Amino acid sequence: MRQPNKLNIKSLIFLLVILALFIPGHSQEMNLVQLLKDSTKADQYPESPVYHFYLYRQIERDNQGIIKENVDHFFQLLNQKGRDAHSNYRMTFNKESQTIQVNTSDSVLKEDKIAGVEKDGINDVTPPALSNAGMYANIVDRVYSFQQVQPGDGIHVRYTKQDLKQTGMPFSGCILLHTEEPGENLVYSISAPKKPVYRISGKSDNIEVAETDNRITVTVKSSPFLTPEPYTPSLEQRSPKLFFSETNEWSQILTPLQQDLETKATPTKAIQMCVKKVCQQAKTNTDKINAIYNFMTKEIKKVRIPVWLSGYTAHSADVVLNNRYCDPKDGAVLLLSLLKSAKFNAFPVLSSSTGTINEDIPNLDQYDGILIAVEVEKGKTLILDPFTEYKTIDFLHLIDSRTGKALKPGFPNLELPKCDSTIETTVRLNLTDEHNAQFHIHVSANGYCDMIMRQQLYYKSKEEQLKYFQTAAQKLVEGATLKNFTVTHLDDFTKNVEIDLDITSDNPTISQKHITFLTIPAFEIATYPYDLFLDQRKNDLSLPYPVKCVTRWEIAMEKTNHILYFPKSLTGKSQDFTTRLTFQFNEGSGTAIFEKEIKNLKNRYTPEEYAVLKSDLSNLDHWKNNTILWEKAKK
Amino acid sequence: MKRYYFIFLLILVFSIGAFGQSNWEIIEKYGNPKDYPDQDTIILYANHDVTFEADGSFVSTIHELVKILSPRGLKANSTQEVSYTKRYQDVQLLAANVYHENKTVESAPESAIKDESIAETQQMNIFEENFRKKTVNFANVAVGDTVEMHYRIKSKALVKDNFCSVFPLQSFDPAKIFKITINGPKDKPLHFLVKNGTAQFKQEENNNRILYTWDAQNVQPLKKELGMASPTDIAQKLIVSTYNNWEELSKYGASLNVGKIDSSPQMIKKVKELTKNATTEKDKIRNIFNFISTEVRYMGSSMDVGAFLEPHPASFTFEKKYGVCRDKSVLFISMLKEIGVKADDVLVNVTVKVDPEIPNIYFQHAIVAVHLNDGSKIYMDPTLELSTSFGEPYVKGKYVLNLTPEGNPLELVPQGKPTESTGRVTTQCSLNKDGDNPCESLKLKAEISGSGIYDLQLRTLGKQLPGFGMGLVMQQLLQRSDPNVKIIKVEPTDPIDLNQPFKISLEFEIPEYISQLGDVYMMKLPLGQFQLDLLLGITAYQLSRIPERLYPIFVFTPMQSETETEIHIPDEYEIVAYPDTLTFAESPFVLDVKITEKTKNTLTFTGTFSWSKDYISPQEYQTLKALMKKVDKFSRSMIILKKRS
Repeated sequence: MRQPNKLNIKSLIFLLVILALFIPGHSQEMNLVQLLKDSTKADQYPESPVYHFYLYRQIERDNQGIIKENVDHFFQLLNQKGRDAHSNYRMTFNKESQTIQVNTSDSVLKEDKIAGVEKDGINDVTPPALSNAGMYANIVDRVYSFQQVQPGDGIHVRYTKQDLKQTGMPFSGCILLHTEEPGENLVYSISAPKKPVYRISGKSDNIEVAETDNRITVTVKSSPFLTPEPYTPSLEQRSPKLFFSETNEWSQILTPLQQDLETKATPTKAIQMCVKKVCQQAKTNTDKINAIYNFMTKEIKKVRIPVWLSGYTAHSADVVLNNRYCDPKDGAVLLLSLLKSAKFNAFPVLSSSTGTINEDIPNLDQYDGILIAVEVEKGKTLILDPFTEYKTIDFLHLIDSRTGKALKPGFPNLELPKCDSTIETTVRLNLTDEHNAQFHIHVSANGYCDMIMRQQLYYKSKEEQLKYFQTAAQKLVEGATLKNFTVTHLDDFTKNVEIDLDITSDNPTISQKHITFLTIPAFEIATYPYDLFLDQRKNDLSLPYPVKCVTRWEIAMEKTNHILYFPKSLTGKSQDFTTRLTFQFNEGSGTAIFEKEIKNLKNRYTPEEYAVLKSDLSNLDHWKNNTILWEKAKK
Repeated sequence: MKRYYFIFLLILVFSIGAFGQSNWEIIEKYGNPKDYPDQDTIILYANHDVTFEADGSFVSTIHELVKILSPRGLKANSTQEVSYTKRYQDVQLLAANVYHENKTVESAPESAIKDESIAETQQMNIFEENFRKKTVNFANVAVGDTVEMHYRIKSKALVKDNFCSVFPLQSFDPAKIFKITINGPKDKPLHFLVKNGTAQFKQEENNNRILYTWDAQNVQPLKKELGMASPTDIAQKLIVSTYNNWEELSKYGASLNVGKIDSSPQMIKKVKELTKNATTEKDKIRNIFNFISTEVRYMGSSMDVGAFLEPHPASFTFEKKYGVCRDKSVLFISMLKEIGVKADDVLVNVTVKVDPEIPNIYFQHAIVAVHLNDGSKIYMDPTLELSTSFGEPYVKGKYVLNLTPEGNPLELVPQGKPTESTGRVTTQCSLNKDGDNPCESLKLKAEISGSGIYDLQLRTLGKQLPGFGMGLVMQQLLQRSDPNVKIIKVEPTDPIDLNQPFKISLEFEIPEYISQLGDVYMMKLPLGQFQLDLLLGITAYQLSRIPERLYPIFVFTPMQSETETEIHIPDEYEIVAYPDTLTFAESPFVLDVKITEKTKNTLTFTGTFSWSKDYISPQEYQTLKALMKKVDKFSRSMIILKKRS
């Protein structure tokens, strides 16, 4: 049995202070104006839109299993951007299973004035992500529009969100302890009749914990400001987290979900008819899985809402099929149902895109994706992502943790496979006549790179594809003419996309004095997919997926040209990021071959590691390294 | 500019308006996908039936059959939506069916019909649960199927005692039959015009009512092009109105302002405070304008939605410090009145053209005509938070309607000059020894500034990208030609301070800038791709990527850019060659690029580029292509150096 916690005086006082903040009717308004007047946050954080002076979140589960959350939040709008982006305060809730009661909604103005929100400024609106997704119309944003706030003013909101009935699931969760913007006094309090087990990931001196018999209170003294940069790890990836759970048993958490998914995925007549239609041409097991996967990818729209928001109770496969759109769990139900209907042995697998899993604290909120494992034949299992758009069958995207949790008896962990992500481009350039250059370009891609190319092309008509490649040709050489293009396998998500282009140009080279030169451009649709243009970084670099990009130019030139300059071969210094450039010129045949390779071997780089790889990239891309200069033979 | 579209959206919602053949017959007859190998959908049948009454109320019945031809068509049509405004309208769904290729029909069940608020307005800072849409989600719809939507919208009068609207007769999908019928009282006859195309017309009279019918068949689809003029300008359309002239509409608009141009002691006090140190009329107007544009925020709450959006009283907007364009304009007029300056409420379209032939409520935006003491008139836009223009250049060349009690005609404001919106990039650069590295690096100091719309664009960029963001943008622009450019400093001034000129100061370095080739050294012309020039290096470059165009490009307003770069070469080098002068003058474009030797070791590279129109025609686009080809060749040329012996 756990021993009662011994509280020292310091933590007792601290706890009393925290509890006092939650006494109904407690008000800090008297101090808020002064807090704003004394605030120097706008000068301290000129690039942040707001500063959170305090955020108290108290989540409690009562004896009946009803969960109630009290929030008390006060923040300052530091500039016009803060006013424009944060003066419409959103409180997302499920109107079918929750109530929301706003107790305080004050604009705290610098000129010693507190103004409320007018009746017209309170609206229940559809969250933008759920527009046209009526199946999830139960989720709404109650928006309080603080019409009168100006930069420098504050917003104070207190509200209570309460479940209408018990969920039937053990009380558990994962709370991000930092905020997107800088702040202080972030206090999270969890209570239940029996105190939940908990763990804090990324704990530091900045975080204090106090416990009583049934309550855990976590105080974060300050939340840092991160200069936004491209590919900065998301708040979910970088924030310390509080994991809590009423139970030590994963089975208690996972069994209700597994049962719900299995029940909802039970094949019905409509599902059977759908499978029959989709698989009518399929002969082998692989054909059937391919056909079902293509159907899921092409015909079921994806609604990007997190599972924790829409709830862990899925819609039935019939409902999902009828609506033709899904969130992650509903997509899993439909795919599972289709596969079961096609007589496959299949089961769901939970996955995470935001970090490794804390096994000690059974908790569904650690996962944000649901995959489906399907046995293709005895001993051969394929893992499919039902919540997929533009992705080939073997590619699992947004999987930060490579360990999934199988929703089958015993709930074993499952290793999730990786697949290659490569983009390979070959440019054959015939430059024997400088006024009539001919390019033939072949591009092939797989994994993440295939997905990027499909995103660009999938919903384009032939005519729009023509314009797209014409534009790419123009970026190759101004005034170039696209003669022909083909795109292969764009509509088949079980094969990789390939592109072939024929381009001609009447001015690929420049001649000045006796020198002629060709600048080798980056071909627009086939470059390294991550735009790492920052000279240096303050934050870690977080790339979606390791990829390899190889570009090869084969240039047939006039044999009599005298080459003055060509790029030097080089290899980068970074350990986890390879860059390679090779150049060969065969004077006898007049053929120049130029090959460039970029490859990131991992997803995450520190700023120091970034400095090395940026240096490698700069060397690789430096214009003069990509320029060939030659002197024409005197006639 | 997003917020302007909202008014257009509302008007279209309000303007939305059966037949002998069965649906199956139409699908059989017209639904052959082989006729349209590259389309996503075919509109087989679209019938808008409108009955309006003398008080301006109306009932629209819309019936459409859309055949789906591609996955993209499926994505766009598997959910249908009908937008409406709860305060004014009721929507009744008459039929929502899918006609499958296998000859079965499936109706959308009640559970597939949802009613939700319009999420898109939230981006415009408008949170109104009264702006709604009904959505119908079609189950089991597939490529090859046909979707039927049949619904009725009952609407209160949007314009008291009148009716006017615009009906599109062309879209990005081909259409087999477009039919519009309008039934109205005989004593309110319609003025109408079919523009950009033709439609068969007939008119019947019965029991003091007139039935107007337009039929357009086999309408070809519009094609999408980057930067193209608004589809509303290009598409075939029907414009209808019971107004006899623009003057009537002007009077009606002014009548909505009656009692709204008011005052309060606080407003009077504020005007005095804003103008007490201003000595000229211009300064007084400017100070009031700056107050409204920056401190009264754009926000839609408790909006009325009649024609022209009836504004709130000026004193209300002043007290609450928020409003939409109509509110901000009325407040500006009221505050100007306090200093004895006469001003009118004015309607204008920002991104589409006004059709002057038929008086119509279809306006996107409200601004203010300010009558100066010298008898001149300027147009000011207090909704723009970052405008420093005394008189908005973008209004020039556009039609405007002044709302006056006596009624004004539609007025065409004379076209402006490119010099009213000029950008300027001045750069000093020098080659420097880079430690032991034999190749010199290039150090550059640049300053970007502008006037008119160019200044507005720079300030908008500055506001949207505070601090770090501006550095990222500059890094991206410069890396287009120099991948290893290092930004040393980016310092924009405060874009929100309208009393100070806005400029972006920039310092950067490009290591190993020159290459040695035997006894010759080569370097690219610094900023030779005009990378920091919004006009030539960014807009013209992006817009000129396709070989030809079907439609005009909308470039907003005449503009100009000036580039001046001074390049200092170390004394040890002799300049052997540099790129040739480049001149190009073919309407509406002028380009003049010169490189001169200022001293024996200093080159000056100057460029001026302009367009003198707000729309570039497809023919003029070819001129732009020819110009860009020359620019490309120029920017790939080199400065060739030799070491002095």
